[in-house]
Amino acid sequence: MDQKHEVSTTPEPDPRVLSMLDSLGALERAEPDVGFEARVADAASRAQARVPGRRRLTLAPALLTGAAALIAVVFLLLPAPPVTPVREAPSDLAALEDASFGLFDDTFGLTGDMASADADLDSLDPTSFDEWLDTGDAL
Amino acid sequence: MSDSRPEALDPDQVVQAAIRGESGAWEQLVGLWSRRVYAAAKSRLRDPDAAEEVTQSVMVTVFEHISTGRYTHTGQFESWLFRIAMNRVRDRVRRTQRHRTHSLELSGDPHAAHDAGERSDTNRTLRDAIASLPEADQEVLSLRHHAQLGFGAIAEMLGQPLGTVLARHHRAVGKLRAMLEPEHEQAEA
Repeated sequence: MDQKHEVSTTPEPDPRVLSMLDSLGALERAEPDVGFEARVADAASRAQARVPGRRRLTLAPALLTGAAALIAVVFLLLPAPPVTPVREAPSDLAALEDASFGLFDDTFGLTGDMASADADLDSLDPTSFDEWLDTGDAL
Repeated sequence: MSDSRPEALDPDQVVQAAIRGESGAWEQLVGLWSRRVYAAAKSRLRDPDAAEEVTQSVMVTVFEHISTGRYTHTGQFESWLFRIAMNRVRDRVRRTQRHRTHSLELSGDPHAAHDAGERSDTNRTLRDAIASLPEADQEVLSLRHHAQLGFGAIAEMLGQPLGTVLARHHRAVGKLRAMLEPEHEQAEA
């Protein structure tokens, strides 16, 4: 802030221009009215009022994460209910086996039918189509 | 160089008091620097309302940093403050230039950019001459003569060697002199 000293050590090409610049600077600094500082300070006060809100916003995710972690810990610490295995009676097991065999049989049967249909196509006589056309023409 | 700052206040102590949150320190801080920020902004923007908006925005940023502990005082408050100010001014200048280009294209008025509040012909001529300089020259002049920063603080703020800043200032004043010489000759005649 020791500007007078600095001014004396700097090259000054034209004191008149420097003086004009200083005068213009002083004029600009004096330009704002008397309420200027109050308005600037007031703007900062309004910003201060926003700062706690910002902190709450910043804290909100942390609080949510903490609450979620706490709930998770509580669930982990609670004794888990005993798992009871489902036991099937021998008669039920037999019925299930029969049903699954039936399904397998049905599937295999369908596959067999398809295979025999293919075999029938292979055994067709290529001339039979011409015969069929001739029959059509005759009709 | 005339100075509207209250001489009784030590800037460093005011900053320290504001950091500690002492009552009245913020008002002192505003009193010490807001008009200097305003003048620097006004010299570049040539619009009193825009200059006041920039000043408020800068001081709010400073206040937020100080009150939340994000500013660490290392004795370079002024450089930090005016770095924020110059960044805001640059943003504003760019926006204004875009707007002015558009307005001039529409109106075709070459004098539309003139500040309506300029009453003195001499000051208007000087402002016009400053505005015709390169942006870097304008910044050095504005920081030196409007914001009343020392050359050391300007060099620190701009991240340039002191010699570079001094040379730039010297050249800028020389260019102004060349531009204003016909005015001086007319005035003297």
